[in-house]
Amino acid sequence: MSITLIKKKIQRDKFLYLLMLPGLLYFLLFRYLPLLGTLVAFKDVAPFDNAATIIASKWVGLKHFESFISSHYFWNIMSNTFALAGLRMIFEFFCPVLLALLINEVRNKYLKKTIQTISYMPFFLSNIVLAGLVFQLLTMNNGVIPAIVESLGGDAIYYLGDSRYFRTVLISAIVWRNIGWGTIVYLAALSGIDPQLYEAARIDGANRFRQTLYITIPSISFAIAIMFILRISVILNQGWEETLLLYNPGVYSVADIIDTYVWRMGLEQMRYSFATAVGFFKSILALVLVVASNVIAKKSGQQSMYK
Amino acid sequence: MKKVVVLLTIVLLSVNVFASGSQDAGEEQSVPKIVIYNNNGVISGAGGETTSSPEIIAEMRAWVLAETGVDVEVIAPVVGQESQKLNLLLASGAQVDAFWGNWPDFASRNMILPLNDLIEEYGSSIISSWPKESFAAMSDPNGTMWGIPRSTPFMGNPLFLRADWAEKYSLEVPETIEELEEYFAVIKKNEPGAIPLLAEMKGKHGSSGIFQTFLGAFTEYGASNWLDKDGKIKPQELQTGYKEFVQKMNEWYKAGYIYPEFASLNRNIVRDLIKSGKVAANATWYSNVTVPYATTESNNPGINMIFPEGGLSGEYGKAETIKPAGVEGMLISARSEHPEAVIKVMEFFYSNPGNHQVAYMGPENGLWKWTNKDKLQFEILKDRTGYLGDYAFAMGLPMERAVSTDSPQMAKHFAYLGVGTVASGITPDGLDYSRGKMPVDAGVVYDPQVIENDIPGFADLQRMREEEVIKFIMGARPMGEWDNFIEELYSIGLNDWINAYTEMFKSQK
Repeated sequence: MSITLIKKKIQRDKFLYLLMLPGLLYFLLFRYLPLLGTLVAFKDVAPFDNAATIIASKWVGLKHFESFISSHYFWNIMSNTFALAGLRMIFEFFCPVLLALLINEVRNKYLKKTIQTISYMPFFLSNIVLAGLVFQLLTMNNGVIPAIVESLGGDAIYYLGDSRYFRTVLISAIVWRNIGWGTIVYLAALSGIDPQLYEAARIDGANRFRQTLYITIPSISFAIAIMFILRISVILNQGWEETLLLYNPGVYSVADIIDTYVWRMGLEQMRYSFATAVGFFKSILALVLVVASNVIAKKSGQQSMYK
Repeated sequence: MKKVVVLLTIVLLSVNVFASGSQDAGEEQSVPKIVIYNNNGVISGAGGETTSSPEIIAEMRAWVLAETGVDVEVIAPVVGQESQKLNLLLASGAQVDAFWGNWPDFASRNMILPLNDLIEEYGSSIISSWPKESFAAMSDPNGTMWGIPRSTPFMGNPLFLRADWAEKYSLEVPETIEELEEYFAVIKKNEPGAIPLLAEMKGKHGSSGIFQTFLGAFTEYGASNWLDKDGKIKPQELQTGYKEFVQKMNEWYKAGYIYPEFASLNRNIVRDLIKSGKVAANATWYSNVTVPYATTESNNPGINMIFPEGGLSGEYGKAETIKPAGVEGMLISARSEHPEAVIKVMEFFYSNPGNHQVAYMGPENGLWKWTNKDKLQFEILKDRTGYLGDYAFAMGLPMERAVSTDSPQMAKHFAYLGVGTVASGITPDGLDYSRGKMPVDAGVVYDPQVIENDIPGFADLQRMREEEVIKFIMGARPMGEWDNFIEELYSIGLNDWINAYTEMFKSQK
């Protein structure tokens, strides 16, 4: 394509390009320029160092990465990160699919709308409020859950302080908040399925379960695949606020993930270079996950995010 | 028309993108403006879940400006996240001229200014207000002073007990660990819903009540690093008797004496529990009991929370560990453009207890009034609402004890501090060091930079010491594994810790 042709096209679509400009600037300023900050991970930077000091300071190579990888809790933090991410993938991703399928089966439209509205509500709670609710439910000082357990003859314990229960509590809280909102895409996809397919299936003798299995799920599988890839791309970044708000030192062994570790090292101990290195390490892992999931999606014949 | 709409949209979107990054350029000002992050504990202690009234804050700001010629803006902390917010503010480059913190953490990173010259020039009242050991704790071995003190050596973790319950069940107020156990057992059996022991792992002013209130009864040196026979400084976990202490805490936990949320408490939860009257014994920072005591009394008529007169004791003597004059104080940011203005403002508060009184309780005749201004006696008119002490920068015993009141609202707190008793020479409970043990390394400053360089596994050690002890107490890890735990500490760098701490200790003692 000649330069003249390119110029002509730009001239023709100049307003479209202009419309794109704010978005591009946003990504440039707030997503790409901060990447320069990752050089802090390869230097020893003090909190009040300015840009000139940082640039002039000595390179320390992979010192901070080595320090993280050789730390006693490296594997614990990694396994917690992936375990919590995995649990979220399983429950936070598939529960909305299941709920959407169930809502889709509700025939009374008023009941359907009511269920949808109620299920959306928790999504609008902030993490702080969510954590507050969880604390109130589980506190040993007149908390509802310990009271129920005791009324049923059990021995109530402080579930947030017990490493056997912490992940269950955390994932349940996250799923409760996000499940309704997560159904929106699937309900939209479900509404696009041709009713004649169901009609034909019924004539062939398919019951509701088989209709779901052979018509509904395959029809929305493209949405599931795309949402799956989108989720994988952010899975290592999501959920850390809830963990940070709910965990305590007694459950570090099952709750301390890369992001909470970065928070403690960076914001509590002011080890900026080390914390940046750990954060950067996590970003590389996330990138690997995105590429891998895209490849898998492509190979399995599903939609992929890029070629 | 279509083009106009498109262009307008682009402009609006662009403005939106850049708006969050814009900064108020500000006007050239003739008076210095300083910003103080008031995380000295007064705001969170007074009721950090609420905020002061903007009108009163404006009035206070105008008063300080009129009296000192300095415009002082105060940033309030987030309760429970005070240091995180501070570090975020400092990292963001926002103007913060002064704040409270442990000076070694900031001096080692060149984040604060030395104050010797400034205090010598502008701060004579500051110097005369604090005892020498407080300034010594705020200075490095070379004599460089890095902050204005916040504390004197203090008995911050007395075991407050419900004497009315002890009397109800014909018990003496417990003075030994054995008597305390008996008290817990009786309360557990007879007072449904009561919390026999409320103890904290991490509280305000570095309080770790579970250790500072009890450990001295089980070990020779209490909640302290200690000097072993081999001449090396070692952490408290290696003291003889520490394992037995953890064992006892585990027994108490299993028996349902210790409040199960002890590892995740914050000040608001602690105070709510105490005010409810359910707490039979308190091993958290003393002011959690003393400050809201009027409310506690009003909620629970007849309640009487006291601590054993001579302190709690055990096999190794006094149970409580004294909080030494700490390294926590008011620090001035290295980025401050008006450090002299900070000192001038502080000098104003230290120069007259009446100034501190206004800063602490708000404008006169609002929440309080003078009953005898010459003798610095005042009366509290209302509960503490509308003003949380945002401008109270001179917090600490010297100024707090200089005024007095007969008002019942703060009677418990002021009695513990000995408010108004300076002239009498009576030692207040808060300064009665005979009740506890002074840490072996009181006054020694451990340099975070040395720690970071010489103890590569320091963060791991910190986590393991905290996490595993909690697990042992809760029974999540059996006590039979205690020796393995100590071996694990050595395997991740405890020897580095011992060597580095010993070197720093010996260079200063």
